[in-house]
Amino acid sequence: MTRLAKLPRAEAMRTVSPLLGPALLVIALVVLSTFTSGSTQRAVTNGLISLVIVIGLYMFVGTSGVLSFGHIGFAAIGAYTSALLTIPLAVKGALLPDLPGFLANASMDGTSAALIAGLVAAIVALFLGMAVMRLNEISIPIALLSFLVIVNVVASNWEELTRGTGSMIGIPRTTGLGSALAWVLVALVAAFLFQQSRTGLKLRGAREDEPAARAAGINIWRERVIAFTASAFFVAIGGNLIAHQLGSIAPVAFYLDLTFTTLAMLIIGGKNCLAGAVVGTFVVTALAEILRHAERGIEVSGIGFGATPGLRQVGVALVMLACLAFRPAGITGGREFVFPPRRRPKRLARESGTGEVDRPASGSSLISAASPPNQQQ
Amino acid sequence: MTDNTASAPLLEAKQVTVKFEGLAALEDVDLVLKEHEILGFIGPNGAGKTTFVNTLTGFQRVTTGQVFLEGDEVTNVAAHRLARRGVARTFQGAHLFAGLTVLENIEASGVGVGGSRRESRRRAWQILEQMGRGDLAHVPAGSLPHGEERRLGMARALVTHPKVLILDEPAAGLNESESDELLGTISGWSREYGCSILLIEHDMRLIMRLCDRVQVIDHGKTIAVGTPGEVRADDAVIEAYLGRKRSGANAGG
Ligand SMILES: Nc1ncnc2c1ncn2[C@@H]1O[C@H](COP(=O)(O)OP(=O)(O)O)[C@@H](O)[C@H]1O
Ligand SMILES: [Mg+2]
Repeated sequence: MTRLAKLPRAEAMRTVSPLLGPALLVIALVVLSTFTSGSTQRAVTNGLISLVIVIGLYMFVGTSGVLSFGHIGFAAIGAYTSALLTIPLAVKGALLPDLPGFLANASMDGTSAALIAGLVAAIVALFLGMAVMRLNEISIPIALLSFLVIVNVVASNWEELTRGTGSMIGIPRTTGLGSALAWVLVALVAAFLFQQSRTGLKLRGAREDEPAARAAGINIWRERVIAFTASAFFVAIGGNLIAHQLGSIAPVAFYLDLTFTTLAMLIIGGKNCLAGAVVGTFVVTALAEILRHAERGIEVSGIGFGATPGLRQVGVALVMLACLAFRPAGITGGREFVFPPRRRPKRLARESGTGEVDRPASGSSLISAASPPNQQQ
Repeated sequence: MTDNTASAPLLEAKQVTVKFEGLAALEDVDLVLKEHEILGFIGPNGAGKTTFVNTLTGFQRVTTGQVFLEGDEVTNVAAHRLARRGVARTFQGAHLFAGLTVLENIEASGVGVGGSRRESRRRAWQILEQMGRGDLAHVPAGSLPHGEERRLGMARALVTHPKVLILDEPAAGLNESESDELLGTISGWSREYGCSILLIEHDMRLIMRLCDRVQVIDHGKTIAVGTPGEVRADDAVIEAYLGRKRSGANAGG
């Protein structure tokens, strides 16, 4: 009866291609990078960690269409939670003598710590979300920015737990290319399943038209809270990966700079689709890497250009501006990677040729079922 | 014949008044919609039809008055709750999920009222095939021509299996053959889905042919209720509505 029955293989392929496309792209890049230098591999690892955060961000911002300036607060929560659970006991005793007992004695493997870090952030997000998601979509990003500021202030001043603005050191450096890739794949699968889920579908509807969503029985508040919670989990996992890559963290690492970079990645790629999160992260990471080298100063035909600090941030910001001005839906245009591509129905192909969308129908019916288009294309 | 006590009102409004900054857009409007009934709701532009629909569907709080669904009071209940209780509506504008495909638009509505993902997908296909629009399933809703937009808006309402279907000017912008097709579709649905329909429409031809009863409002007040024949003969209606919309006055015969 349906087209599904006619082309089961092509249709099944189209269903999973939004996941397979980005996943294969990421895997291919990682495989290629194993043939390169250590510094390139570190850059790729950085990109993968960013990608975990950006996919997490996408689960809320992309599906709901509501911006967030606060998600990096969850990265901070994830990083500090995981650090506290994994720093070797001897180091921890010397570093943070005033820790409460259960934390002072906690010592677990990286994966358990990551999962707990994600859960802690998710619980915070659940309660925060229940309050904040009552606001309208103009106020929510600002309210979440306030959350980020609060997390930063708390992390900077809670000496017993975080060493304040000083660095928390001695975190096992367990994040590598492999573990970062593994989490990226987990996040990709989760985000893909989430956007296909009932909540994902309802939120994408509400993103496109709020009154219509309400008329369709959708409780927008509830769905946003669910997405926010799931999203916080993966952003926290990303924060945890940062902590275990650097080995030492300070509150400033999880503040406006990272907020801007991750949002730029999502928006430049195209925030309405999973492919956008992946493409945007890739493009911005590559750009930032090139500019970071340029920052140190370069020499062209004997003429030296001095070191230009800040070139990286300015470069990313300029690309973001250009993107907002000329391609607001991002590089991907908000469209998922679908393979094999679909053909445009003949019914519409007839009109699209004119380039006019709203041409008034003079006499001839555009929609009459009685007269299906019979010319072969 | 109009006084059928056996069928209790499915949807009832009592003395609904809505004021915008002191100005009354609706004043003491009553409405009774019975089971399996198609009720026309007409009036000149700015009469308050859309505002009234909004009060029935949770999009506009009443200033005073009450709304009942199957005897339960639902005044000022949130829109999504009413939708789940079987009150579906379309909008005067398209209000589609433009970035989603046609199929996803219908599915989102199905899961919105509590359906499973699988069941909603099956029903969405079923409705699309019924409408002869299976080929449009994977097209982004934002790229549809006007007539198809309207049709999709209705498909989205139908997939919820509503008890009450409220259509706000479904024929606006359609040409004559398109609205004829629409007419057939609407009466088909009310039979097939067994739902009552509140039809807001300017096209008198459509109203006269489809509706069991017609209610006329002007300046936020009900000025006549009755069978299409009665309403058409009503002096106040001729004066307030048909007089201004002369083109539609004799369209029925
Ligand atoms: N949100 C609003 N704020 C102020 N006035 C409104 C609002 N909505 C509708 N109105 C006014 O209420 C009256 C009825 O409008 P409406 O219900 O849209 O009429 P109709 O659908 O019959 O054309 C109009 O005079 C309109 O200007
Ligand atoms: Mg109106």
